[in-house]
Amino acid sequence: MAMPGWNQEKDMLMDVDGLDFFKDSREDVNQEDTRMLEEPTIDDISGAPETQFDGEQPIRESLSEFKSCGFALKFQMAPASSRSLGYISTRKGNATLTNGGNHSDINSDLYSPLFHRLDSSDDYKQFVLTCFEIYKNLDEDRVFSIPTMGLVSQTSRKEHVEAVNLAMEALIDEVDSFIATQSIVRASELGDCLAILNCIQAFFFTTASATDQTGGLARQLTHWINRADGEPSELVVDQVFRQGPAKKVYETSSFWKLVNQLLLRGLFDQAIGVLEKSNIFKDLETTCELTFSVLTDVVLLLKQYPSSNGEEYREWKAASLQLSQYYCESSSEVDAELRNMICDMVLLISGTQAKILQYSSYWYEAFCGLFMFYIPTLELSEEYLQLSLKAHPLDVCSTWEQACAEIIRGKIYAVLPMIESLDSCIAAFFAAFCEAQGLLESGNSLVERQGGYEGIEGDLFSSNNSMASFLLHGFALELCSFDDKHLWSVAIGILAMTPSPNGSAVRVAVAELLPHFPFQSNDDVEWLLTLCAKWRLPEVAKTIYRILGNNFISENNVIEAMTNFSKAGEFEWVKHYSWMIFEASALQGAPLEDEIIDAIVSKKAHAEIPKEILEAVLTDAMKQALSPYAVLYQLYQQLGQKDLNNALENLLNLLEFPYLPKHYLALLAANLLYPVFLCEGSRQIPEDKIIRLIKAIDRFENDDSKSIAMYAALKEKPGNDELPEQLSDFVKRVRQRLNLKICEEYIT
Amino acid sequence: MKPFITGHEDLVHDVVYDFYGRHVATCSSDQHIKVFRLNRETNEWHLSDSWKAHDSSVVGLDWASPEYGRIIASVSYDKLINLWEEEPDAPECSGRRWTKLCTLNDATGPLFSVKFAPGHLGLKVGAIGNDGTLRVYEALEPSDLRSWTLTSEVSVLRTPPASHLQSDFCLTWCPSRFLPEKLLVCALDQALIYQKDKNGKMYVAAKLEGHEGLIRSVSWAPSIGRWYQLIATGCKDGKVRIFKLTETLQGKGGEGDDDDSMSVDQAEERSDSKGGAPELNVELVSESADHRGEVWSVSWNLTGTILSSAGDDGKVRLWKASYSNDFKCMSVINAQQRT
Repeated sequence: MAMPGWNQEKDMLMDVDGLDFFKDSREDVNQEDTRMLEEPTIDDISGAPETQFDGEQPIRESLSEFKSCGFALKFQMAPASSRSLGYISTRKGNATLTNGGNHSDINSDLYSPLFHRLDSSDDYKQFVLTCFEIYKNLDEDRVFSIPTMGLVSQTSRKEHVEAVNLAMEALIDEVDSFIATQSIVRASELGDCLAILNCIQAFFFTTASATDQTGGLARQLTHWINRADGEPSELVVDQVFRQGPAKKVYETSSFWKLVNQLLLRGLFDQAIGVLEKSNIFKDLETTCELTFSVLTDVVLLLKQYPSSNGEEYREWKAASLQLSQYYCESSSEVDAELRNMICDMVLLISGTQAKILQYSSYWYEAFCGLFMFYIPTLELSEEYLQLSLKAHPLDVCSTWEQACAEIIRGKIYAVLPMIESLDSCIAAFFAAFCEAQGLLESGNSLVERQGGYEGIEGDLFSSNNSMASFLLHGFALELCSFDDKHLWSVAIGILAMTPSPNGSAVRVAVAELLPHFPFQSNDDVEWLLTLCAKWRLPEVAKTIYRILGNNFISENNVIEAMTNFSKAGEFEWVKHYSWMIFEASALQGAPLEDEIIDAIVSKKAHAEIPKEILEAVLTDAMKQALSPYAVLYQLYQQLGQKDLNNALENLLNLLEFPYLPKHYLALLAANLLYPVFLCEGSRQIPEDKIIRLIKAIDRFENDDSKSIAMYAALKEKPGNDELPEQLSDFVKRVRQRLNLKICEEYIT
Repeated sequence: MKPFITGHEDLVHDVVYDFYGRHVATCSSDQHIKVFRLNRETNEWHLSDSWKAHDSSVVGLDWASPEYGRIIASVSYDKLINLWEEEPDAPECSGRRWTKLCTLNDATGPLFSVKFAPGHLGLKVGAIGNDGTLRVYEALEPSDLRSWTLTSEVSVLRTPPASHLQSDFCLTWCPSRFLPEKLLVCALDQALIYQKDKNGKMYVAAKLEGHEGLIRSVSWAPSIGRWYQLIATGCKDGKVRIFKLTETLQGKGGEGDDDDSMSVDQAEERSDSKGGAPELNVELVSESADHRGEVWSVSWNLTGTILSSAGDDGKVRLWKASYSNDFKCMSVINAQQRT
């Protein structure tokens, strides 16, 4: 019989003390890592984890001194939680210097908090994205349903279970990989999550086919406990083998305790390796043929541990019982103490409860041993748990132990708050997969039972929804506080995909959320507007257009601002900025040096701007609102070409335009009418046009403050010295000139 | 992000973020406002501008919704509300980047709190101070931000508090775009929710009961995904309270018809012209004395799922609702230097 070598055993033993699966904190020592290495303390009133502010703390003196100086601590949450700030203020009523005016002692700094378990790292964001992808890919299998009518497919149920099992397996792999990027304290918390996930996978997410139930389950169980608590460590093994020369290693009780522990944990190869390394086979081969033969059979039995239940397991169990009975009833030539220890091992393998409980150190070792060696069935799992817990109570300080015990009892609901206290992302997707597997009641069934009033819009966090929905929705909203657009898309995705009995609640939530999306690029805006269209949220889209419009205004991009204001339905603003353009141009007496605006109003837009851009930028409202400027622009062109007749006609069109704000009359008159058409030596004007000009001038309001301000602004410009100081004087002069023009026309 | 030096020469009274949290404005007893800009690359705040905003302590400020541009309102003990607009072309730290749009000087006592209404309600700002009067101003012509009209003036207190006594006033608007306009005003130990009747007149729609001291801070939670509203108050009596506000159509429930519930100074102002406005039901869902002393500030996160409170125990407490809707302290930030 070929025995496995020691090297193999060594490779397969987990070095828990080495923690080499964690990120080496020395590799990337930065402040965040150092921070995360520190265990948070516990607040003595609430029992909640307690952190501090980053660096120096706001309160440097004793609390009583702090308060007696009239100071108060304040805190403001930021839209991105990590940027929240604390500061020292005063107790109101004393809002003046409180330290006798010594400015150097005033604490006006702002302090950034270190939030417990707020991870803004790229690794975490990637982890969330991957978990979401797994959830998304579940597609229709996100919902658990039992078809009761119509054509019920035999395979659909099986396919659903397999899909959900795969999703849980993928989640476990992701958590496992994520742990490797984390520092020790965080990795330990995530390790607890992993233990819980491995446990639930073993019991509820392993395909129970008739052929490999025992082996599969046993493998999953042993994987769960060995990953959660990787004992025995290499150090323990070394210590067992390093005992004094007075006794051979296999003559010590610690050696057999080690072997039995390995067996209870399903580490058969390692157990065989330990036996082999102890030289027991070599020594007994010549001294006690019976014991040698029994041990050889034990090795054979372990190697043949069945991978399926049913007949194969019954045969294996019968063989192990036969072997234990045979050895314990026979007389051997080894020392009685050694014989008893070997006998215990053989009894343990044959499923003797007393020996399993005796040699296990923890309840989960006992549970695993009972499952593997007594009867490997889930039907007895609760009984096994009771026996195990009676022998070894669970550690009340260990979250994963408590959670796993609840999982074995089938109380998945009790596990959710525990896993949520460790990580909200894992908790949300864990709950989602449990619900998809039918382990948690779905929202629909709860609604029927409770049926409380929830308003027209419904509620994302109602107790009428499922607990999985509650966790998923809570996690989605949490993601919106990261100021990260990728996590935002995950948040919206979760809200959209989570099975919800009330779709309008999701729509309302999306409507409230979207305006807060931290857009940066055009693509971001496109994404936002696509969502508004998809969720039929025109009012939200208008809000976004208004925000965009104002952003463009602050960037001095008036045309794009007007485009967005048009789309927001803010036609008053479109008009306002059109008149601003008009005013700026009329003040300078020349077209604006803005290629886009000039291209639009010069009718060359189609030639100079690509059609698709023009269509996206130029709205009907803008075309209409910009028309006065277009006339003014044309007027400038005509003046440039000395086409004074048409220029005067256009000027008249503007002056007679009923919607022209009256304060622009003075501006047009002072900057265009007077210098070009009325000053001394200017050309004659036809009578009908003079009459029209007189009528237009009658609309002047000399005492209008805006007109006065506009005139004053023009007067300040160089080259306008000839204009009278006051607007009223200017109007008089215009009237005089017009009278003169009439006389000229009459005389000629 | 390490503590950063604001450069204020006196204590800071208010810290407010703009809509996206990329700018933060502070005000102080040194009569100045400072605006800091976030460098997203380094995650550090840089001073954008600082200017003398009032002739007395500046005690409150707020950003308008970005739908209306970049506007800040500030209130001071000089009884004035000043409105400021950013001039993007002016260089940073020039002291000229924020120009005053207008000054609103109707208050007859020092002002304590100013808050812009959420964007969907238009460009309007509410303020309250020691004269116990809530004033709401509106820019009826959003293209002319220099022109503001006093649209509502409500006496929250019948008589202003004596000047030698400590007082406190604060207000917060309901942020939900799916509910009619309403705001909560706190004056001394009274917390009153105002909404408009069919004639546009404000009336007391509900009262948040149980405060046994000055209400120091109030925050209306964003109600994303919830059909009810949550409001948090921080009080001198040492309690952080969370109230749940639900609307029911008149005639249903009937609790709101109990006139005793309105037996505050404003009872006579209760309008008969409420029309078919829904009744507001107020329920205290959480009350905690964990701070073991005065509570100085309460503020909700962006999505209204986490509440922060800071108090005289020198700690910031973060509260979150469980599945059974109990608010639990989920973590604590200790502000005291560890010895």
